Amino acid sequence: MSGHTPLPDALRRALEADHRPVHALRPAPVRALWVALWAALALVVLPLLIGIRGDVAGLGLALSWGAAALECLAGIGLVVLALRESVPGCGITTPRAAAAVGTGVGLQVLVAVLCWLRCGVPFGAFPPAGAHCFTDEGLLALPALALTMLLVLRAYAVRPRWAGVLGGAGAGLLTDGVWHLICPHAELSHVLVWHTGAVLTLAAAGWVLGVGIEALQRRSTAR
Amino acid sequence: MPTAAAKSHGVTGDEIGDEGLAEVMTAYQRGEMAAFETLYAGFRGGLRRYLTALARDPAVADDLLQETFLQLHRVRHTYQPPRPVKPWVYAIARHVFLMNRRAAYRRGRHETIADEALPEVPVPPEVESLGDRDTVERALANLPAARREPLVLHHMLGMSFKEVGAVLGISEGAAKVRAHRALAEIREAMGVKGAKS
Repeated sequence: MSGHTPLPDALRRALEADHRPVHALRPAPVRALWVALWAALALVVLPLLIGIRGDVAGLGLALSWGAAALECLAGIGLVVLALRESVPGCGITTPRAAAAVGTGVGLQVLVAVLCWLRCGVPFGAFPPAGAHCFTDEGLLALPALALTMLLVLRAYAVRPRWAGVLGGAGAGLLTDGVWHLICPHAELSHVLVWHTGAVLTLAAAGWVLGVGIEALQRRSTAR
Repeated sequence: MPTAAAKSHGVTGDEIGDEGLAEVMTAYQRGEMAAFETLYAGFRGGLRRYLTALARDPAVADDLLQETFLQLHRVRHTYQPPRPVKPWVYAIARHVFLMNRRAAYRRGRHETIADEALPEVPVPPEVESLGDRDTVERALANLPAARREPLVLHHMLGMSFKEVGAVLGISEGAAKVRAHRALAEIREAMGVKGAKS
Protein backbone atom coordinates (compact mmCIF):
# COMPACT_ATOMS: atom_id res chain seq x y z
CA MET A 1 0.00 0.00 0.00
CA SER A 2 2.30 2.69 1.20
CA GLY A 3 5.42 1.46 -0.41
CA HIS A 4 7.18 4.63 0.68
CA THR A 5 6.99 3.61 4.34
CA PRO A 6 8.03 -0.02 4.79
CA LEU A 7 6.90 -1.64 8.02
CA PRO A 8 9.58 -2.74 10.49
CA ASP A 9 10.11 -6.50 10.46
CA ALA A 10 8.77 -7.17 13.96
CA LEU A 11 5.63 -5.25 13.16
CA ARG A 12 5.15 -7.02 9.86
CA ARG A 13 5.60 -10.41 11.55
CA ALA A 14 3.02 -9.52 14.22
CA LEU A 15 0.57 -8.43 11.54
CA GLU A 16 1.12 -11.52 9.46
CA ALA A 17 0.69 -13.75 12.50
CA ASP A 18 -2.71 -12.28 13.23
CA HIS A 19 -4.65 -10.18 10.79
CA ARG A 20 -8.02 -11.82 11.26
CA PRO A 21 -11.05 -9.57 11.13
CA VAL A 22 -12.20 -8.28 14.52
CA HIS A 23 -15.51 -6.89 15.69
CA ALA A 24 -15.38 -3.38 17.09
CA LEU A 25 -16.35 -3.17 20.75
CA ARG A 26 -20.00 -2.35 21.18
CA PRO A 27 -20.87 0.96 22.85
CA ALA A 28 -20.49 1.00 26.64
CA PRO A 29 -24.25 1.07 27.40
CA VAL A 30 -24.72 -2.07 25.28
CA ARG A 31 -21.84 -3.89 26.98
CA ALA A 32 -23.23 -2.83 30.37
CA LEU A 33 -26.42 -4.75 29.57
CA TRP A 34 -24.71 -7.94 30.81
CA VAL A 35 -24.30 -6.38 34.24
CA ALA A 36 -27.82 -4.90 34.06
CA LEU A 37 -29.17 -8.37 33.33
CA TRP A 38 -27.46 -9.72 36.44
CA ALA A 39 -28.90 -6.83 38.50
CA ALA A 40 -32.42 -7.34 37.14
CA LEU A 41 -32.20 -11.04 37.93
CA ALA A 42 -30.93 -10.36 41.46
CA LEU A 43 -33.61 -7.71 41.98
CA VAL A 44 -36.35 -10.19 41.17
CA VAL A 45 -34.94 -13.45 42.53
CA LEU A 46 -33.25 -12.47 45.82
CA PRO A 47 -36.22 -10.73 47.48
CA LEU A 48 -38.30 -13.76 46.55
CA LEU A 49 -35.72 -16.23 47.90
CA ILE A 50 -34.69 -14.42 51.08
CA GLY A 51 -37.82 -12.38 51.69
CA ILE A 52 -38.55 -8.67 51.55
CA ARG A 53 -37.89 -6.45 54.60
CA GLY A 54 -40.77 -6.20 57.01
CA ASP A 55 -41.24 -2.43 56.88
CA VAL A 56 -41.87 -2.18 53.12
CA ALA A 57 -45.44 -1.06 53.65
CA GLY A 58 -44.27 1.71 55.99
CA LEU A 59 -41.62 2.88 53.55
CA GLY A 60 -44.03 3.13 50.65
CA LEU A 61 -43.44 2.25 47.04
CA ALA A 62 -41.10 5.18 46.32
CA LEU A 63 -38.70 4.51 49.22
CA SER A 64 -38.70 0.73 48.79
CA TRP A 65 -38.88 -0.46 45.15
CA GLY A 66 -38.38 3.07 43.77
CA ALA A 67 -35.21 3.69 45.79
CA ALA A 68 -33.92 0.20 44.93
CA ALA A 69 -34.48 0.78 41.21
CA LEU A 70 -32.87 4.23 41.42
CA GLU A 71 -29.76 2.84 43.12
CA CYS A 72 -29.55 0.08 40.52
CA LEU A 73 -29.82 2.61 37.70
CA ALA A 74 -27.11 4.75 39.28
CA GLY A 75 -24.96 1.62 39.60
CA ILE A 76 -25.48 0.80 35.93
CA GLY A 77 -24.54 4.40 35.09
CA LEU A 78 -21.22 3.98 36.93
CA VAL A 79 -20.58 0.67 35.16
CA VAL A 80 -21.21 2.40 31.81
CA LEU A 81 -18.64 5.06 32.76
CA ALA A 82 -16.16 2.31 33.73
CA LEU A 83 -16.64 0.65 30.34
CA ARG A 84 -16.25 3.98 28.54
CA GLU A 85 -13.05 4.51 30.50
CA SER A 86 -11.77 1.21 29.13
CA VAL A 87 -11.71 2.55 25.55
CA PRO A 88 -8.66 4.73 24.73
CA GLY A 89 -9.57 8.38 24.19
CA CYS A 90 -13.15 7.96 25.47
CA GLY A 91 -12.76 8.31 29.22
CA ILE A 92 -14.12 11.10 31.37
CA THR A 93 -11.88 13.49 33.27
CA THR A 94 -10.66 12.59 36.76
CA PRO A 95 -12.80 15.26 38.54
CA ARG A 96 -15.89 14.01 36.69
CA ALA A 97 -15.11 10.39 37.56
CA ALA A 98 -14.68 11.36 41.22
CA ALA A 99 -17.91 13.38 41.09
CA ALA A 100 -19.77 10.42 39.55
CA VAL A 101 -18.61 8.07 42.33
CA GLY A 102 -19.42 10.75 44.93
CA THR A 103 -22.90 11.24 43.50
CA GLY A 104 -23.56 7.49 43.57
CA VAL A 105 -22.48 7.17 47.19
CA GLY A 106 -24.40 10.37 48.02
CA LEU A 107 -27.55 8.86 46.52
CA GLN A 108 -27.14 5.76 48.65
CA VAL A 109 -26.72 7.89 51.79
CA LEU A 110 -29.73 10.01 50.82
CA VAL A 111 -31.91 6.90 50.47
CA ALA A 112 -30.65 5.69 53.87
CA VAL A 113 -31.46 9.02 55.56
CA LEU A 114 -34.94 9.26 53.98
CA CYS A 115 -35.77 5.68 54.99
CA TRP A 116 -34.49 6.28 58.51
CA LEU A 117 -36.62 9.44 58.82
CA ARG A 118 -39.68 7.63 57.46
CA CYS A 119 -39.28 4.64 59.77
CA GLY A 120 -38.67 6.77 62.85
CA VAL A 121 -36.22 4.28 64.40
CA PRO A 122 -33.27 5.31 66.63
CA PHE A 123 -29.96 6.35 65.03
CA GLY A 124 -28.36 3.13 66.29
CA ALA A 125 -25.28 2.22 68.27
CA PHE A 126 -21.62 2.08 67.26
CA PRO A 127 -20.47 -0.39 66.19
CA PRO A 128 -23.86 -1.07 64.66
CA ALA A 129 -25.49 -4.47 64.62
CA GLY A 130 -25.88 -6.50 61.46
CA ALA A 131 -22.27 -6.72 60.29
CA HIS A 132 -23.30 -9.65 58.08
CA CYS A 133 -24.82 -7.10 55.65
CA PHE A 134 -21.27 -5.99 54.80
CA THR A 135 -20.13 -9.47 53.86
CA ASP A 136 -23.43 -10.41 52.20
CA GLU A 137 -23.39 -7.30 50.04
CA GLY A 138 -19.73 -7.80 49.23
CA LEU A 139 -20.25 -11.42 48.16
CA LEU A 140 -23.38 -10.55 46.23
CA ALA A 141 -21.50 -7.81 44.36
CA LEU A 142 -18.65 -10.07 43.31
CA PRO A 143 -20.29 -11.37 40.10
CA ALA A 144 -21.15 -7.82 38.99
CA LEU A 145 -17.64 -6.61 39.82
CA ALA A 146 -16.00 -9.58 38.10
CA LEU A 147 -18.18 -9.14 35.02
CA THR A 148 -17.43 -5.41 34.83
CA MET A 149 -13.70 -5.92 35.22
CA LEU A 150 -13.71 -8.69 32.61
CA LEU A 151 -15.33 -6.27 30.19
CA VAL A 152 -12.73 -3.65 31.12
CA LEU A 153 -9.94 -6.19 30.62
CA ARG A 154 -11.31 -7.15 27.21
CA ALA A 155 -10.90 -3.53 26.12
CA TYR A 156 -7.78 -1.44 26.80
CA ALA A 157 -8.18 0.97 29.69
CA VAL A 158 -5.56 3.70 29.68
CA ARG A 159 -6.54 4.52 33.28
CA PRO A 160 -7.44 1.05 34.62
CA ARG A 161 -7.45 2.22 38.25
CA TRP A 162 -10.22 4.72 37.57
CA ALA A 163 -12.10 2.18 35.47
CA GLY A 164 -11.84 -0.13 38.50
CA VAL A 165 -13.09 2.48 40.97
CA LEU A 166 -16.07 3.31 38.75
CA GLY A 167 -16.81 -0.37 38.15
CA GLY A 168 -16.43 -1.26 41.84
CA ALA A 169 -18.66 1.57 43.03
CA GLY A 170 -21.17 0.69 40.31
CA ALA A 171 -21.26 -2.98 41.34
CA GLY A 172 -21.59 -1.89 44.98
CA LEU A 173 -24.46 0.47 44.27
CA LEU A 174 -26.26 -2.13 42.16
CA THR A 175 -25.99 -4.64 44.97
CA ASP A 176 -27.03 -2.14 47.60
CA GLY A 177 -30.13 -1.41 45.53
CA VAL A 178 -31.07 -5.09 45.74
CA TRP A 179 -30.03 -5.46 49.38
CA HIS A 180 -32.07 -2.38 50.32
CA LEU A 181 -35.21 -4.49 49.72
CA ILE A 182 -33.96 -7.31 51.94
CA CYS A 183 -32.09 -5.80 54.90
CA PRO A 184 -34.42 -5.34 57.89
CA HIS A 185 -32.19 -2.74 59.62
CA ALA A 186 -33.34 0.85 59.15
CA GLU A 187 -31.03 2.43 61.78
CA LEU A 188 -28.88 5.03 60.11
CA SER A 189 -25.68 3.87 61.82
CA HIS A 190 -26.15 0.37 60.37
CA VAL A 191 -26.70 1.58 56.81
CA LEU A 192 -23.88 4.14 56.91
CA VAL A 193 -21.31 1.73 58.33
CA TRP A 194 -22.17 -1.62 56.73
CA HIS A 195 -23.95 -0.66 53.50
CA THR A 196 -22.06 2.51 52.53
CA GLY A 197 -18.91 0.82 53.82
CA ALA A 198 -19.53 -2.09 51.46
CA VAL A 199 -19.95 0.24 48.47
CA LEU A 200 -16.73 2.09 49.33
CA THR A 201 -14.86 -1.17 49.92
CA LEU A 202 -16.00 -2.45 46.52
CA ALA A 203 -14.78 0.79 44.92
CA ALA A 204 -11.42 0.20 46.64
CA ALA A 205 -11.44 -3.41 45.42
CA GLY A 206 -12.03 -2.07 41.90
CA TRP A 207 -8.98 0.17 42.31
CA VAL A 208 -6.87 -2.83 43.36
CA LEU A 209 -8.12 -4.84 40.36
CA GLY A 210 -7.26 -1.84 38.19
CA VAL A 211 -3.71 -1.93 39.57
CA GLY A 212 -3.61 -5.60 38.58
CA ILE A 213 -4.78 -4.82 35.05
CA GLU A 214 -2.15 -2.11 34.84
CA ALA A 215 0.52 -4.61 35.90
CA LEU A 216 -0.59 -6.98 33.12
CA GLN A 217 -0.44 -4.13 30.60
CA ARG A 218 3.00 -3.11 31.88
CA ARG A 219 4.25 -6.65 31.51
CA SER A 220 3.01 -6.85 27.93
CA THR A 221 4.53 -3.45 27.09
CA ALA A 222 7.89 -3.92 28.84
CA ARG A 223 10.69 -4.42 26.40
CA MET B 1 -11.95 -4.24 -2.02
CA PRO B 2 -9.77 -1.37 -0.79
CA THR B 3 -11.60 1.67 0.43
CA ALA B 4 -11.07 5.09 -1.08
CA ALA B 5 -9.15 6.16 1.99
CA ALA B 6 -7.05 3.03 1.97
CA LYS B 7 -5.95 3.86 -1.54
CA SER B 8 -4.10 6.91 -0.25
CA HIS B 9 -0.35 6.63 -0.55
CA GLY B 10 2.16 8.22 1.77
CA VAL B 11 -0.39 10.51 3.38
CA THR B 12 -0.48 11.82 6.94
CA GLY B 13 -3.34 11.33 9.38
CA ASP B 14 -4.24 14.98 8.94
CA GLU B 15 -4.37 14.70 5.16
CA ILE B 16 -6.82 11.79 5.23
CA GLY B 17 -9.22 13.59 7.54
CA ASP B 18 -11.37 12.22 10.36
CA GLU B 19 -13.94 10.48 8.16
CA GLY B 20 -11.28 8.93 5.96
CA LEU B 21 -9.37 7.70 9.02
CA ALA B 22 -12.50 6.13 10.44
CA GLU B 23 -13.01 4.39 7.10
CA VAL B 24 -9.41 3.14 7.07
CA MET B 25 -9.76 1.89 10.67
CA THR B 26 -12.93 0.01 9.76
CA ALA B 27 -11.12 -1.60 6.84
CA TYR B 28 -8.25 -2.50 9.18
CA GLN B 29 -10.71 -4.13 11.61
CA ARG B 30 -12.04 -6.15 8.67
CA GLY B 31 -8.54 -7.56 8.28
CA GLU B 32 -7.19 -5.48 5.39
CA MET B 33 -3.41 -5.29 5.82
CA ALA B 34 -3.27 -2.39 3.37
CA ALA B 35 -5.36 -0.32 5.73
CA PHE B 36 -2.83 -0.83 8.51
CA GLU B 37 -0.05 0.31 6.22
CA THR B 38 -2.03 3.46 5.43
CA LEU B 39 -2.45 4.09 9.15
CA TYR B 40 1.24 3.44 9.71
CA ALA B 41 2.21 5.88 6.98
CA GLY B 42 -0.29 8.44 8.25
CA PHE B 43 0.58 8.35 11.94
CA ARG B 44 4.26 7.39 12.03
CA GLY B 45 5.65 10.92 11.77
CA GLY B 46 3.25 12.54 14.24
CA LEU B 47 3.53 9.72 16.74
CA ARG B 48 7.29 9.78 16.59
CA ARG B 49 7.36 13.51 17.31
CA TYR B 50 4.90 13.06 20.16
CA LEU B 51 6.82 10.15 21.67
CA THR B 52 10.09 12.06 21.31
CA ALA B 53 8.51 14.96 23.20
CA LEU B 54 7.45 12.53 25.95
CA ALA B 55 10.57 10.37 26.15
CA ARG B 56 13.04 13.15 25.26
CA ASP B 57 15.21 10.57 23.55
CA PRO B 58 14.83 9.72 19.85
CA ALA B 59 16.15 6.17 20.29
CA VAL B 60 13.63 5.43 23.04
CA ALA B 61 10.93 7.13 20.94
CA ASP B 62 11.67 4.77 18.05
CA ASP B 63 11.23 1.72 20.30
CA LEU B 64 8.05 3.18 21.74
CA LEU B 65 6.77 3.91 18.24
CA GLN B 66 7.06 0.28 17.28
CA GLU B 67 5.50 -0.82 20.57
CA THR B 68 2.65 1.64 20.00
CA PHE B 69 1.84 0.15 16.60
CA LEU B 70 2.01 -3.35 18.08
CA GLN B 71 -0.45 -2.31 20.78
CA LEU B 72 -2.67 -0.63 18.19
CA HIS B 73 -2.74 -3.93 16.37
CA ARG B 74 -3.48 -5.97 19.51
CA VAL B 75 -6.32 -3.70 20.63
CA ARG B 76 -7.69 -2.75 17.21
CA HIS B 77 -11.10 -4.04 18.31
CA THR B 78 -11.35 -1.19 20.84
CA TYR B 79 -11.73 1.42 18.14
CA GLN B 80 -15.44 2.21 17.83
CA PRO B 81 -16.43 3.72 14.48
CA PRO B 82 -17.27 6.48 13.74
CA ARG B 83 -15.40 8.00 16.71
CA PRO B 84 -12.36 10.11 15.81
CA VAL B 85 -9.27 7.95 15.27
CA LYS B 86 -6.60 10.42 16.36
CA PRO B 87 -7.48 10.59 20.09
CA TRP B 88 -7.67 6.77 20.15
CA VAL B 89 -4.23 6.40 18.55
CA TYR B 90 -2.51 9.05 20.66
CA ALA B 91 -4.13 7.86 23.91
CA ILE B 92 -2.66 4.40 23.23
CA ALA B 93 0.75 5.91 22.42
CA ARG B 94 0.72 7.89 25.66
CA HIS B 95 -0.26 4.79 27.62
CA VAL B 96 2.53 2.78 26.02
CA PHE B 97 4.98 5.49 27.08
CA LEU B 98 3.62 5.57 30.66
CA MET B 99 3.66 1.77 30.99
CA ASN B 100 7.17 1.63 29.64
CA ARG B 101 8.35 4.34 32.03
CA ARG B 102 6.76 2.56 35.00
CA ALA B 103 8.23 -0.79 33.95
CA ALA B 104 11.67 0.81 33.68
CA TYR B 105 11.24 2.48 37.06
CA ARG B 106 10.28 -0.81 38.67
CA ARG B 107 13.29 -2.51 37.16
CA GLY B 108 15.44 0.18 38.72
CA ARG B 109 16.53 1.47 35.37
CA HIS B 110 14.89 4.84 35.87
CA GLU B 111 17.42 7.33 34.74
CA THR B 112 17.30 11.00 35.41
CA ILE B 113 17.79 12.79 32.15
CA ALA B 114 20.72 15.09 32.32
CA ASP B 115 20.26 18.68 31.23
CA GLU B 116 22.58 18.09 28.29
CA ALA B 117 20.22 15.41 27.01
CA LEU B 118 17.10 17.55 27.22
CA PRO B 119 17.15 19.41 23.90
CA GLU B 120 15.70 16.56 21.85
CA VAL B 121 12.15 17.77 22.14
CA PRO B 122 10.48 18.65 18.83
CA VAL B 123 9.64 22.33 18.63
CA PRO B 124 6.15 23.56 17.65
CA PRO B 125 6.20 26.30 14.97
CA GLU B 126 4.59 28.81 17.36
CA VAL B 127 7.63 28.85 19.61
CA GLU B 128 10.29 28.24 16.99
CA SER B 129 10.58 31.94 16.16
CA LEU B 130 11.07 33.05 19.78
CA GLY B 131 14.81 32.60 19.78
CA ASP B 132 17.66 30.38 18.66
CA ARG B 133 16.69 26.71 18.33
CA ASP B 134 18.86 25.42 21.18
CA THR B 135 17.41 27.85 23.70
CA VAL B 136 13.85 27.20 22.56
CA GLU B 137 14.38 23.44 22.74
CA ARG B 138 15.85 23.75 26.22
CA ALA B 139 12.93 25.93 27.41
CA LEU B 140 10.47 23.44 25.95
CA ALA B 141 12.27 20.46 27.47
CA ASN B 142 12.25 22.13 30.89
CA LEU B 143 8.46 22.49 30.88
CA PRO B 144 6.61 20.03 33.10
CA ALA B 145 5.14 17.18 31.02
CA ALA B 146 1.59 18.20 32.01
CA ARG B 147 2.02 21.49 30.12
CA ARG B 148 4.38 20.34 27.40
CA GLU B 149 2.01 17.63 26.15
CA PRO B 150 -0.98 19.88 25.31
CA LEU B 151 1.40 22.32 23.63
CA VAL B 152 2.92 19.60 21.45
CA LEU B 153 -0.41 17.95 20.63
CA HIS B 154 -2.15 21.20 19.71
CA HIS B 155 0.53 23.42 18.24
CA MET B 156 2.74 20.78 16.64
CA LEU B 157 0.34 17.99 15.73
CA GLY B 158 -2.61 20.25 14.98
CA MET B 159 -5.12 18.54 17.24
CA SER B 160 -8.15 20.43 18.46
CA PHE B 161 -8.27 21.07 22.21
CA LYS B 162 -11.20 18.65 22.41
CA GLU B 163 -9.00 15.92 20.93
CA VAL B 164 -6.10 16.93 23.21
CA GLY B 165 -8.44 16.59 26.20
CA ALA B 166 -9.54 13.13 25.04
CA VAL B 167 -5.91 11.98 24.71
CA LEU B 168 -4.86 13.32 28.10
CA GLY B 169 -8.07 12.54 30.01
CA ILE B 170 -8.66 16.19 30.85
CA SER B 171 -11.35 18.67 29.82
CA GLU B 172 -11.10 20.79 26.68
CA GLY B 173 -10.81 23.92 28.86
CA ALA B 174 -8.00 22.43 30.94
CA ALA B 175 -6.11 21.48 27.76
CA LYS B 176 -6.46 25.05 26.48
CA VAL B 177 -5.28 26.57 29.78
CA ARG B 178 -2.26 24.24 30.00
CA ALA B 179 -1.16 24.92 26.43
CA HIS B 180 -1.58 28.68 26.96
CA ARG B 181 0.46 28.57 30.19
CA ALA B 182 3.15 26.51 28.48
CA LEU B 183 3.48 29.10 25.72
CA ALA B 184 3.58 31.91 28.29
CA GLU B 185 6.29 30.08 30.27
CA ILE B 186 8.40 29.58 27.17
CA ARG B 187 8.02 33.23 26.22
CA GLU B 188 8.98 34.20 29.74
CA ALA B 189 12.01 31.90 29.68
CA MET B 190 13.03 33.45 26.35
CA GLY B 191 12.59 36.94 27.77
CA VAL B 192 9.92 37.83 25.23
CA LYS B 193 7.99 41.01 26.14
CA GLY B 194 4.37 40.60 27.21
CA ALA B 195 4.95 37.03 28.25
CA LYS B 196 2.82 37.41 31.38
CA SER B 197 -0.13 39.02 29.61
